[in-house]
Amino acid sequence: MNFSLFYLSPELILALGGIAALFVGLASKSRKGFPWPEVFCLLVLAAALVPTIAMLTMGRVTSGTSIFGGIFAVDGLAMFFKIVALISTGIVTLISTDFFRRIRFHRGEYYALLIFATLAITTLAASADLIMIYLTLEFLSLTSYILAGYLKQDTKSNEAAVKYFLYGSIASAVMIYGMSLIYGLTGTTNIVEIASTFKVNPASYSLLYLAVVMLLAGFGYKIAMVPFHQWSPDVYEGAPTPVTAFLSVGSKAAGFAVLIRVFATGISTAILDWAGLIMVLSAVTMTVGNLVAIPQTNIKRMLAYSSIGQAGYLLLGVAAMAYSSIALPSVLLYIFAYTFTNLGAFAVVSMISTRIKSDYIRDYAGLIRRAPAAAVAMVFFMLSLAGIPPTAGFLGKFYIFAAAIQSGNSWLLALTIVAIINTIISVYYYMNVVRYMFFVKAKRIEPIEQPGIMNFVIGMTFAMTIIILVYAGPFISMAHISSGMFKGI
Amino acid sequence: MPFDLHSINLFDMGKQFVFTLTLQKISFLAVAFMTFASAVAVVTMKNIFHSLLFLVLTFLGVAGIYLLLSADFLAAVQVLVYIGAITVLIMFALMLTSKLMAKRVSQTMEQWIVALPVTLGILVVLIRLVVLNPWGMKAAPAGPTTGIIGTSLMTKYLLPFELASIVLLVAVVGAILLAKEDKSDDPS
Amino acid sequence: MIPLEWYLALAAVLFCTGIFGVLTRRNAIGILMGIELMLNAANINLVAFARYMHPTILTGHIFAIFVITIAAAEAAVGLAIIISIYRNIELINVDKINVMKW
Repeated sequence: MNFSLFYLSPELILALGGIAALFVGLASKSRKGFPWPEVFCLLVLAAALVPTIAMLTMGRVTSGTSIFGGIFAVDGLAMFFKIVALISTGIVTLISTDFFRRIRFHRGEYYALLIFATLAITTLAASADLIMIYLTLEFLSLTSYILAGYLKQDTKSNEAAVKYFLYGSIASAVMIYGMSLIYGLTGTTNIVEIASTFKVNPASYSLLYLAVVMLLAGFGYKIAMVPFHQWSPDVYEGAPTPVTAFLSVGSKAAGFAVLIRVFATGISTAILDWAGLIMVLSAVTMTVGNLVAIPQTNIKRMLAYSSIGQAGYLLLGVAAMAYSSIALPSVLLYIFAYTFTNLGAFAVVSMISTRIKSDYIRDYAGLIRRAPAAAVAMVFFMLSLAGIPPTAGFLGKFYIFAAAIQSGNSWLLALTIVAIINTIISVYYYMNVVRYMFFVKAKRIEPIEQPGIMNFVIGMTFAMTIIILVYAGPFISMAHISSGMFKGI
Repeated sequence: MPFDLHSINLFDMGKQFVFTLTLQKISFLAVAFMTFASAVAVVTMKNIFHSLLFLVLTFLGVAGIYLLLSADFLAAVQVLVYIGAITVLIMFALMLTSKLMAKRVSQTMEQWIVALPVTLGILVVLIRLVVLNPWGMKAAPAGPTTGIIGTSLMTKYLLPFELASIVLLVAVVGAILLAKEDKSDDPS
Repeated sequence: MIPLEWYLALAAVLFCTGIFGVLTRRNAIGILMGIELMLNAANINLVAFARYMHPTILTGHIFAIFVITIAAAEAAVGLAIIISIYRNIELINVDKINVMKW
């Protein structure tokens, strides 16, 4: 066991920072004065970002090392997801500053919980052992349940928390049963050891398949994959908007991180042909997400179903991982683009909805007059989610489709066609929002206040959705560098 | 295999089974039956407080199973945590919310007509795949487990061990946050 | 010696009983009890496998300990959520009574 504390530094910073944030919150009870909890939270996240970027760019970790006897992986994949998590939580912190402006809530603890949730994501992305995966996945879920129910006086928030809790606990119970079966079949809980020591007894093949399906119940619930997506619309609608933003980006990325690691490293296609199953799930997820998004009138619910659809496209990339070498970089790039796009969309929703006191799309009518900058940015976020140029979303989708086509597998090609059809369908409900903003007459036309922080957030995410496409080079190479994974002992 | 599943003659099967019964097997069957019966009671009792009491019995049964598996430390942990902590938590929550659930304290089973065949179907699949899988394992003699667990937790599994303490901290903070009464004078 | 399959069978039966509880109970705490049954079933699996495969390494026991820990944390958070709903509805009822009085 040889490791250096440096490899663990992001986690240490987050853990100590979270505990300190609890004290900072305690010390700054009144709302006036310097916003200590928010600033401290951002400082902790930035401090954790520094060693993470250093590890990724120094090149030492791409081939994959592990510390703690194979439990904790220090490789490109883990670093990528840590960066995504840290950046998303930073943006969510900024959105939260504005959202909670006039609402009574426990301030210090909220930001501490955000830091701990980020810690959960960073450790989940680096988990290479079933025990660690279970622990960190549940850690993330627990903080998410608490955050979803944070607006104690709002019944929608309460309901979101209860539904999230029940669905999540059931999914995790099924997952742990599946993990116990894998332990029984392989004799070990370490992902890499599972891959190297597993010889499939043909009689046990169905049992392994069942165990993998049970694992997918747990991972699929996190990424809101059909048929484990039922919690998503209610939770997205009921939770406070910054929390929804966090769940749609950080939580989803974490789910994909563990899905990729387990299926690429542990249960490789040599052992079990999971690609077919993922393809079916991808098709179903895409279609359900996009079709049910169409009749939605609440913008947060629409974005929930939109996220379900996005998970479907990402699953196409995951399925392609078995056949194409650019599949994994394409998935990572898509997640990176999706992060900024979705956070931008939720930033606009948070800013506008708190001021017009409504979450309904029809109340966004005439937004171009009332908040022109936000409306224009929102157009680009919708375009990016749909995958239309010139946006980052287009680059992500393009890359994933390219990986699927390059693989030459006929099922993947069929699935790509399904994905393209779904993209066309999705344009309808994304452009519906644009239609309301630009062309529908508003009942009230007074301008909506656009505070500086939100302008900064929306401007930054908007800029990223353009920059990722225009200056694609560094981001594509980052995705390629991050694709190095811990594979050997 | 002491229990020959391919025997066609039911009487022969029964005879074979009874003759290979040892004290160990009898105790397993007793504990297993108690656990199963309590579990069924947990999910079917109309009064949810009765359900909780049977849940305690189920946990005790599982602790008994751990003892049969020579898992001494885990049996103690099971009793301490599940019965000592989780059951008490559930009891408090039931009592605190019983006014709201007063009508619902008499729990009827909704939709059991659909749920029962689904559950039985899953059970059949599980038995066929898990139990009838050729595991081919024999048990070696086992000694006390506490030392091995302790060493593992402090060496190989140190990171999850420390992380678990943070998880518990977050759970405590979150639970208190959500469950406590907010007096209107605290603005933040 | 008790065959491994007996333990696995008990765990499977317990798991399905938990599923039945989850599907039929309307009360959130009742569903939570079903979930606890499912978790115990998985734990029995883990301990049984550890006993029959590696009685000196006991990875299954460690896994089971973490499962129990997480189950406790989960129960705490879940019950807190349920209590917070209860407080909110209570509050609403009391408010309604005030409004009706005046």
